[in-house]
Amino acid sequence: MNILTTTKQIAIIAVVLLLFTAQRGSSLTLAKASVEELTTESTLIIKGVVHSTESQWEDANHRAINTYVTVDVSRYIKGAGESQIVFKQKGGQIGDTSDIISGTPYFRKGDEVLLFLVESNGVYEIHSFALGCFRIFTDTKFNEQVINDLRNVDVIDPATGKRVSPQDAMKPFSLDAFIGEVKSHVSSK
Amino acid sequence: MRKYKLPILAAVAMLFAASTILFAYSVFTNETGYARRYQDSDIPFVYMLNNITPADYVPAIDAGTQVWEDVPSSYWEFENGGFTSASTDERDGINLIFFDIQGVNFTPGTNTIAYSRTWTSGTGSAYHAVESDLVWNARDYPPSTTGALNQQDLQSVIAHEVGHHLGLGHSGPAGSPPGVGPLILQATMYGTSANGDTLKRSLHWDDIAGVSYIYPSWILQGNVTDGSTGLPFANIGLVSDTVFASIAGDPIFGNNRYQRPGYYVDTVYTASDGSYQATILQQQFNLTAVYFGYESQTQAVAFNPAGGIGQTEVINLDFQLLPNPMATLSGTVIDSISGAPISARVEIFATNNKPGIPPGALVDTTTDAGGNYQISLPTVENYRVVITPEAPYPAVSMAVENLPQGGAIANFALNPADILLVDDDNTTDYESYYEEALTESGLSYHKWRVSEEGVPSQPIYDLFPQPCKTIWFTGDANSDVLSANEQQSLVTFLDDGGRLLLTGQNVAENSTAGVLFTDYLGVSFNQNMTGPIVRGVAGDPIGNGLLVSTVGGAGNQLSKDDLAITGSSTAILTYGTGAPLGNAGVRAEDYQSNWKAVFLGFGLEGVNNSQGIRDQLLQRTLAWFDVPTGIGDGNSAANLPDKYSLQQNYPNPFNPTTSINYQLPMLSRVELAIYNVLGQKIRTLVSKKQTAGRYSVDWNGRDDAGIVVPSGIYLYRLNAETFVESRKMVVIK
Repeated sequence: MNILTTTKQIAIIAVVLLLFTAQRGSSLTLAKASVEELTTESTLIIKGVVHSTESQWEDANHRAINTYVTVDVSRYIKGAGESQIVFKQKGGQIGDTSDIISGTPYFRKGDEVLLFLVESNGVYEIHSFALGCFRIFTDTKFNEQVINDLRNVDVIDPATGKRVSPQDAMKPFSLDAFIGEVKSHVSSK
Repeated sequence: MRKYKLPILAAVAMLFAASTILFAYSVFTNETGYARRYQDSDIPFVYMLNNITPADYVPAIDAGTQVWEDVPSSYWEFENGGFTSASTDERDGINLIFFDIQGVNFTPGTNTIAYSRTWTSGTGSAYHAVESDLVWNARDYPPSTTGALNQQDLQSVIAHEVGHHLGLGHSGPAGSPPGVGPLILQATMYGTSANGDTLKRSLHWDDIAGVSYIYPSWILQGNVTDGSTGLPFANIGLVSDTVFASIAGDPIFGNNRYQRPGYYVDTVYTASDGSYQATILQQQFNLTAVYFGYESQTQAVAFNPAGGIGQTEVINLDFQLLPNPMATLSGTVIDSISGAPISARVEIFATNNKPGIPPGALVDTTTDAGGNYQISLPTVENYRVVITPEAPYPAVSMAVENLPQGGAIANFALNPADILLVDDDNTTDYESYYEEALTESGLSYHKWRVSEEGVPSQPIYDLFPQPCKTIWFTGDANSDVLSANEQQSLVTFLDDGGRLLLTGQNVAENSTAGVLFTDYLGVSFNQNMTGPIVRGVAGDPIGNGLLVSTVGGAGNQLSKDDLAITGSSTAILTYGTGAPLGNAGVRAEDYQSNWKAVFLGFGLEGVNNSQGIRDQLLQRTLAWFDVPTGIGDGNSAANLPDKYSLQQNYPNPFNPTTSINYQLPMLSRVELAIYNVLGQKIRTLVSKKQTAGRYSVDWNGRDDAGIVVPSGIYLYRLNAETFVESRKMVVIK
């Protein structure tokens, strides 16, 4: 049985609180998607841990910065590949220059993630900037949960035209149940 | 160019809000807290539209940017730079606003509706923005220029998005999701808006404050000095009849950027060197320097009309404050009947809401031997004099407003308190629950702190109107809750005809059982009870019909005591809602010694008072105390007194009539008479032989000549065979 230390429990609770309470900042506006839609539209769905991040100029003109995130993959839920995979995000920081895409998830080494990736021009990206980014955490009852990291993102329900509240947009799910739902959509295709 | 004026209603609302800090707009910053602002050389912020932008979009886009230019307290400017062939969000020196109706930047199937991209450079205070692009997926999610209910309103969207470009985050409290209230909900920079929402086309004063903080037209600064010393005046408050904008707190990290919350205050405080600076939102206003003990000084402030880009008018406004003259606040604390001086603690609190007032009392002293106090204080200020006298008097207070140069007198003539409130809860503070209940009941009390003053002795009890009514509470104490000394004090108290309400959740469980419990209260500890409900015993003068919840009061009732009746006490309250699960409270009395007691196995402070039940339980207990002992027991032969006794008169003090009870164990020659303090007999009430039994005689406050006696202390003496006893009583007018 995996018993977490008190310190780690506090850290986990703090992460969850941060996810829920962080100030919404700027406008990345996304249309809400169902798990089935995300699953169907994604090329790869992976579970893993962030290994490293590196920001690079897109080209010699220095007109855009991209950040490449390497993930140690523990499980391919859809698709298959190597034990490590790299995906690209728009934006990043090089020196004292920052290229900020509002609402883009920020990754650090060791982050546990479940990602819906799409392929674009030969590289992987997160589905709709942030819509395909789920964080994995352990709740106070030691259950693994996932939460869609939509901090600083405006989410609109296309069915109603109304904004989705952050509480609804970032509602946590049981990791096992979530993966089970994803796999059911994978196998039904 | 149309410029906003701060609406009067908005200013009023801001002032109301400004008595405390109101968090509102937010400002993007770097990790060290510096605002992400455009340099003045980059203003006006020139935006360009992709050349495939639909023609009917352009007026709405321009109107959405124009609202930010119309703020007089900010020099921020936008400018439409025309059309461009640029269609990507790269850093290319073009602040692109691109409604991508062909979806160039959006892969098919994406759920992305829009995103903004801002480039920044520099670190620390040199941090600044260099370019901002907005790209909208107009292919899949076209906005509306007419406020269509199923689409985002283009003008509102632009006003919101370019607000981000100039450096503002979303409006709302720091660290919280949206939902801070109706005022901020109307802000253009509020975090969410529904389809068809056109209200955010216009700026709210919250948005005005945000842009003014980052790009201010007007700044007020200066120094404040103490006119009596010439030294800088630190932490002095400068109060305006408008509000200032500022930001506070550490930068808050949220994914890929930091933010700091903005706030409004009507008061700006000087730094340790006496300097101050504030971002101003209104062209003209008054500013008043305020500090306790000093003469307030008001100066009018008038800025020029806002200048051009990068033009911040700075007004230097200095204040020199002189101390208010001193004056004397004096008074006397005396007994209202005898005029005798009372020893009391005298505390003076400043009641103005001003900087410079230290926490706690300004002055903490005591009366002299004559009951007098005299204190020198700054004039003009408002004060409250709090008198905490010796037993048996209650604590009282008096407000003294605008202390004049001629000084003021605050005299206190006190009556003995109705109740002795014994605070035996160690260092916890449950007394407020009792104080509120007593005040609600119209009763005065003297608070006796066992932790500071020790166990009250019989002479203390004797000071109070007789029979003395004592409420003794123990709070959360759980070890030797009622010590042997305390139990002995209460035994003596009861033997002297006292009235006792003893209440506490661990009193029976964690006190060494002594005669107080066995011979007086007639109970022993049975078990702990955890249920929250206590029900009154039907027909009992105290408990009848009461339904008491121990949830919702002080919240400390975790170990209530079930009281097993072992003596002659009577249950008044039981645990549980159905069949009694145990006894929660008992009452006991003795007509020979004329004492009465109520013992609760829980703390009265824990009772939910939302329906006034705590007050009611206390009032019923005190009312039962007022009923003479033995009422209802009868004078049957089997219940005749076995000794002489003279009980305390009731009521006492009194006007005009009081009752005196006494009992005789055998046929006796009886004389009951009234004496003044000089020992002179003024009235004979009884002078005859009487058989064994209990008697009650009324005295109407008149002497043998039928003349009403003056106010004061009198003695009454019972002389029956060999038994002689005297007691005091007080006549009041």
